[in-house]
Amino acid sequence: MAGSTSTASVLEVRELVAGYGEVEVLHGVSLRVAEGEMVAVIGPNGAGKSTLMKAIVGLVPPRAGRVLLRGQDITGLPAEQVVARGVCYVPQADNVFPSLTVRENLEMGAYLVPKQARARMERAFALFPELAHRRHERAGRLSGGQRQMLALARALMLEPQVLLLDEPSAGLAPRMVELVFAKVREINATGTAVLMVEQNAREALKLAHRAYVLAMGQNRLEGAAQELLASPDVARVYLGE
Amino acid sequence: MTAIARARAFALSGWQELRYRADALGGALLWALVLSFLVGAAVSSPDHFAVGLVVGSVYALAALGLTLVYGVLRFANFAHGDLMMLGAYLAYFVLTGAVVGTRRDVHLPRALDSLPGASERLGDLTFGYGLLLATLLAALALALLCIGLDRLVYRPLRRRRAGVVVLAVASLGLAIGLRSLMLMLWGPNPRLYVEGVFPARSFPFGVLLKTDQVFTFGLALGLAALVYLLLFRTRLGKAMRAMADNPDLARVSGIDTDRVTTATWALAGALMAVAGVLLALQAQLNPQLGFVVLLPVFAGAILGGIGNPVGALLGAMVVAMAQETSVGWEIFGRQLDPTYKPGVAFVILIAILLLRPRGLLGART
Amino acid sequence: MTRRGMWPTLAAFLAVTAAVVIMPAERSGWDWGGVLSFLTAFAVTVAIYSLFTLGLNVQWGYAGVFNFGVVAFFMLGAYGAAAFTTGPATGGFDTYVGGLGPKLSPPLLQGEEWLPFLVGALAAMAMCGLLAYLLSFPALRLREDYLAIATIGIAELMRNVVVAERGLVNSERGLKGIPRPFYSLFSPDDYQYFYLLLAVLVLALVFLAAERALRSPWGRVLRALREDEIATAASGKDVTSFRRQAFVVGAMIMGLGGAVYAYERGAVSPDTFTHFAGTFIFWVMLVVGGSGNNRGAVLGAYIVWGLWIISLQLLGYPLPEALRVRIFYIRDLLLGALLVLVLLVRPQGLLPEERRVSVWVERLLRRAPPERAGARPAAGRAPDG
Repeated sequence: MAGSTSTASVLEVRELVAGYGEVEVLHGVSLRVAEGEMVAVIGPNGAGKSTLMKAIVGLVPPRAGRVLLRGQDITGLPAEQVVARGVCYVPQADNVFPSLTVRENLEMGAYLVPKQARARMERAFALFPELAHRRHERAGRLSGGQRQMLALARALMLEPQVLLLDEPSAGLAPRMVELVFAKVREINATGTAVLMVEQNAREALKLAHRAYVLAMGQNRLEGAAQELLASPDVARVYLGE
Repeated sequence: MTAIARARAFALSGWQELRYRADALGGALLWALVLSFLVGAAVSSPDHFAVGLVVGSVYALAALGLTLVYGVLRFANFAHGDLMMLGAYLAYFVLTGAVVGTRRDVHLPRALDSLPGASERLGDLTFGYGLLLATLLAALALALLCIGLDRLVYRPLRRRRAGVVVLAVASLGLAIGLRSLMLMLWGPNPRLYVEGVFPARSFPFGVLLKTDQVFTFGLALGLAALVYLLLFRTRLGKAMRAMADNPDLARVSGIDTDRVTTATWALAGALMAVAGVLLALQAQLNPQLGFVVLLPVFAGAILGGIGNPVGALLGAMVVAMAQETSVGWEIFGRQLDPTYKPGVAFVILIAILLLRPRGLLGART
Repeated sequence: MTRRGMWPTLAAFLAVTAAVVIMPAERSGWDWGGVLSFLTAFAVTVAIYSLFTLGLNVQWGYAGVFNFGVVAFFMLGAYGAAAFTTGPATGGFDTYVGGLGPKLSPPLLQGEEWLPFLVGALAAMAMCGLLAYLLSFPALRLREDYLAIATIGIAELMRNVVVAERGLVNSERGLKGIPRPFYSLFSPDDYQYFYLLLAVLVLALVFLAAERALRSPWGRVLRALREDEIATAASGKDVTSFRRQAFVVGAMIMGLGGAVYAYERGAVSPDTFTHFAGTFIFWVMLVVGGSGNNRGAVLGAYIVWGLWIISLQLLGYPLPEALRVRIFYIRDLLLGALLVLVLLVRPQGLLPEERRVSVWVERLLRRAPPERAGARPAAGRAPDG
């Protein structure tokens, strides 16, 4: 079963501490993502979920703790190098280049592998057919759902070992949320490990194999997604029941 | 309470709607103003219009460099004009080898001038291939200088996460320093690439232009087209645009933003040098010119939509045209004094800021 | 700031003071009377320039308002004050508006010694405040650097107007014979000491008011929005309105500076109002002194003007000709380099901003019993807002 400790971890975070300026947001967060696994991180607003993502990918320099990719230490590497090693990241907002066309956005996604760009772009268009019609349109003109698709497609251009998603459902209409989650499932089904941060805890738990509950910049709970979904504590505090 | 809150929300949404409409209206008004002005200028004084096109093409090159730096690095580089003039002086220096001495100029033993035939006039132009070569060398030198200044000044400030305004203040210091350097090396008196008086040629509609001016227009537009191709057709150019859109997203796409920054400075530096040489070719080399062009170039870049390269071209053209044709305007029954040329750029700037701050082609924020 | 961090400040202060005292003394053959007169003139200029750095500090140091056209306010203040107090134009070579002169003095008040100057200074402040207010509408609600460009533009336009509108303020020839306050009460030799007193008094008043404002709730909001505009806006403060207030108040202080300048010189002419000598130098002074700190603003004016004077004094010494003709360019180059260097190496300036919370908190702590007074340093370090 995916998620058992015996499987090799693709991504492992140990006691990560990070913040901005004088403010420390993460006070030691640990988690792991196994091969082919989909892991959700849920928690209330201000729990440090987005900071966790940024610290893993190198946009916010970690102050302590370690980030391991297949056992290799990538802590504190600059973002462009973390990405080059196969950790791709979709930010919550502003996750496309609005003045670039859809095609150019995907080209930028494949910036590190320009030779494969064409082939991978065809694959992306196969996965997201609605983007194919709009390949020459500027990304700023796309709808919210289409942008999210483009953001996913852009992040997949490097064929990442693990895909980090920061609130993929934020600001989308319910129908679009379903569609985006379906695509995420599809991506995970091809073997790409996914680490997803979500405000929409219920949906995220339904989708994920395992989950962590984050609060006040620290781990609170972890377990199989189904168990957390069924746990009355989680339900009361984080699912709003 | 809820009724008040609802009324407040309603008023706010109404305000938003109004702002949105005002933006669209301002845009339409601005476009209408610009187009009718251009047509009017072309019809009423084709002579000034033609000069405006030439000056505008120089401003356009300058604005292109400015807007690139602004787009990619997000700060207003107030040293832009002085860097342009430094480029012009560097070209002068490699061409003639002259620097100011105590009583008169001191010359290097050898300069491009002393190459065989370097000062022989190319066709009807006033200069020979020596100046073209000098411009090329100055472009190279200024590109390197810009990269150096970025490493020495701007990058450390960025690393410290100093705000963009701090970078702008630093650029003011650089501007003053560069101008003083030019005054030290070449003195306050104006200089010329080529001495002598050259007649202008007649064109249809009573337009009189020197061949140098036609050359300036052609070279500037040619370079602008090359920059366009670079930005929209090459991987590096697209990376520059991507970084201008969203630097963090560029980094997590694997784009080496340090390299893109270096490339941007190199490109901007080369453009500045060529723009500086062309500007000096219109009249003369003068250390004060750098600050004089700063305002119209900024106004042009903002009019086009700052950060937008195509907008920079268009905006700079319009500002130059307004400045050139303003000499013939009558306001309150009196001819506008030519001293008001910089004032014209300021009025345009204020008009854009009031009507539509994002400019003609700028993205909505 | 630790004590160790203050040694460059002390060293800069002592070095400039020593040079400013010793150089003229040595050159005049140790004529201390002449040195005193020289130092008085120096101090008057420092006091006047401090008004500009204080005004700029209210704009930039308090609120992050980005004024690159200080010279516009300098010019407006100086010309405005001059036009109120100078006598009417005599025709011929003089043409200008205003020139109210002694007419300003009502018959019973005997006010011609002070009233025209007071009115002139207030008018200069009002005009500068109005200009800033008007300019804030197109330029202040947008990106910070748009205001910088717009202020450069207004400075440019103002110089155009002064030169091109011949009947307005006498064009290139400028205004001469501006009366000076209480001039008839002193001998010409003593007047400069009196004027120093006057200038220092004005400076002290402005300084105290600026300090007061900085530690008021108003000052706290300004600094909070400079640090984090979004958070301040989210707490319900109208950011643009606060910025505008800082811009206007700073401009009024600059207008006052222009008035004190015009009354000291007795003449104004457009060619003295360059971007370098009217804008840039104040930026160097403020950044070197320490933006956000009023004492830093004054110290910066002192040190930078000291360096300026030293470069002038150097001309009195036998120098190689190549250096002599370039000494002002070298000075300007060094000032430009100094600005960049301070931003890179000591961005807080010689006297860093003090992170005090408010006068109210301090007063409470002063009243508090001794054991609570121990909390003072901690309160001093608390973040803004």
